[in-house]
Amino acid sequence: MNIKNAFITTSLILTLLLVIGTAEISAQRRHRGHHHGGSAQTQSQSQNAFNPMISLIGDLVFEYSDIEDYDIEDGFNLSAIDLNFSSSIDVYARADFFFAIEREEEGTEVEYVFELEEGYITFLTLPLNMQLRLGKMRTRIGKVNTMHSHALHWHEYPLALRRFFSDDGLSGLGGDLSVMLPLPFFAEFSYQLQKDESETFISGVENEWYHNFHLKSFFDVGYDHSLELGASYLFAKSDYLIPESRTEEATEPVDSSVLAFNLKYLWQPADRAMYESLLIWAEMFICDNDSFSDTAMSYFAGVDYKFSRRLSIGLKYDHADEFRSLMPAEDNYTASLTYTQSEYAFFRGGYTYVDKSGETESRIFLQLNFGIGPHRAHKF
Amino acid sequence: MKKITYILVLSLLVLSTNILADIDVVATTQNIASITEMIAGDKADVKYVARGFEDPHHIIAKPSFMLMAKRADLWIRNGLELEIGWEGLILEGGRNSDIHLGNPGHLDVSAGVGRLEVPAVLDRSMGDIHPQGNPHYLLDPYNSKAAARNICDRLCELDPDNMDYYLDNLDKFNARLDRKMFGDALVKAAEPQLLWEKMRAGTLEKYLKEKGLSAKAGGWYKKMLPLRGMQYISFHQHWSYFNKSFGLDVPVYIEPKPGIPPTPSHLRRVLGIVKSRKIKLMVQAGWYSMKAANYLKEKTNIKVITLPPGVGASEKIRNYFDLFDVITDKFAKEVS
Repeated sequence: MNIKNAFITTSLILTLLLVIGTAEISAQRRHRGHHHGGSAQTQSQSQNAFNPMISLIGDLVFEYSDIEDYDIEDGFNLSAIDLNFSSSIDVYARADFFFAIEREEEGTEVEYVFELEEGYITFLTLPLNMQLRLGKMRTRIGKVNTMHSHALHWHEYPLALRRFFSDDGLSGLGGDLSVMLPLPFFAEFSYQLQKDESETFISGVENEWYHNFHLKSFFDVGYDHSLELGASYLFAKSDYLIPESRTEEATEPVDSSVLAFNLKYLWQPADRAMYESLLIWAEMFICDNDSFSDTAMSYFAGVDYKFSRRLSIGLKYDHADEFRSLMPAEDNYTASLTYTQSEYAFFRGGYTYVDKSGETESRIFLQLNFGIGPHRAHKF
Repeated sequence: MKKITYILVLSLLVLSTNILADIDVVATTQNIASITEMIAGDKADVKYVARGFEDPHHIIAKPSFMLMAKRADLWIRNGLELEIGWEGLILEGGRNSDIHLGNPGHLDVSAGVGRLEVPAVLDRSMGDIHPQGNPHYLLDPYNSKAAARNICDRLCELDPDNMDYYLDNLDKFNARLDRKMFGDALVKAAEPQLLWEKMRAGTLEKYLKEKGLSAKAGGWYKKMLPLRGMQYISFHQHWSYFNKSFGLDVPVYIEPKPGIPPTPSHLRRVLGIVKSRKIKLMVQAGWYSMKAANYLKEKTNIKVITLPPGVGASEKIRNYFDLFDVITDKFAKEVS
């Protein structure tokens, strides 16, 4: 909690400094007619150049379900605003901070909560092709979990992540050490030691540390095809509540683990990349916890086909086994259409058919995502 | 079996060439790679990210590029923010701090290049603008001299043992560029640097007449001379530097603003300009849709040609000089 407060204070100070800096430059511009020297202005502008890269990403989502009092609430939601600060710290490290302003409801009260989504320092000059990240970051379990929500090809995280972790997937405070393996193709191995701040079954109520190993490999197949394959293994000893009662903690720490596999295939003809591409995703999560008897599995597979400069169509299938005796098995079938207005804004609309062990539900969604400022590009 | 042996031998030869090379270079575009190859000769193994037939604005920062960056001794970029969408990710992912910005292994070849279209005001409502100016400066052959000089200087710094070799190659590059631009006879008869200066000032034709050298003119200059002052339509602001060099003009673009696809109302405006100014030619890179071009062709008798903006865009374009051979040939042929 203290850490969260510290981050909020830091961000407020940063914002204040930026406002003061901007106001100072504006004032100097106003005085330009009187003072032709310009040395103070030049100095201020050059200082301004050292400001972090700042961007804001907004996500406006409309959702409707034909069943009342279910998982989603009908109507418009400004589901998230992400505020991103990125900059080199010095020649050895860079800092990336992502703050989220999220809508939260308690009864009839709606409030917007300012919280740190990710915030980490990356040390860039370590030997042996290593890279170290310290701070709060998304866990490299599968591929989609490492992505920010605005970069997803869907309006929400896949069912597997929502069910096993949270609506925002899994992230934690800690460290990430990765190494690029000396192989003829791209292969990266990473180890993360993290503490989840939310009460997932991984970390338990006491927010125990968890360990995550991820192997990522990437292959170019000819000019136009590429394939990413990955495997992750996460484990923790946690004190999670015994599911049958949910009131008493396990007397002994219980072992939790998640094994995940991910695949991403992209076909993008180089000379028509702006107009046509095909993306196939598939991820599988196998979850095991000593406090519930069976291994639970969840997976999704999706296709996204871009058929013009601005339009793409997506299909996705999600499946989740019954989990912790509390959540029934579930299948989701989603179809969506995305209209990309520009690199900085897109609209997405779609339909999801939900089957929860025979109980069915239809959902429609509309999403407007926009960004202002020089947000860093996303990795493959 | 013979085929397999041949492939194996060839692979070993390629591999041995790479091993023998002193410096591993990664260029962000194939144009820069070509110039680098001419300066570095067999002393460097040169790879590149954006191929000539790809739009360099929209490269995906794939891990395979990070692998290239990891092994590089020198990273050479076009600069003027052409690579802003992907360079940072590739460099960070490559974990090779020797080629990060500010280190000798990182070179921006735009230093010393005259910039066009530097925006006075920056706002996303103006489209995909580049704050430091139009980044397609290598489509003015003269700018390749500055780029080649920058590359040579950095190679000399990194590999001083081969300094004479690089400087010699730079001289050869410049001499070849002079001959390609003005023709052998004119380069022998006049000081090449003076010819470049006159050409850039728009006074070369007059100067050659005064000196009685018009008949000696050749190369790209002579090929493009009849087109001087011609107006044409272009899809994107690729050709601004080329136009300045050869005296051409684009009064309107198919894109209403850089990077923004055309709208019907904008195309009607373009159509009006094409008709009122009797414009006969439209030019676009191969990666753009032909829809707008076909619309204009239906409504007018405009000719549409696909011009390669980069080395490697076709089999004929194996190096930077071939690029201008093909571009000037296409212009001259279509207009004649």
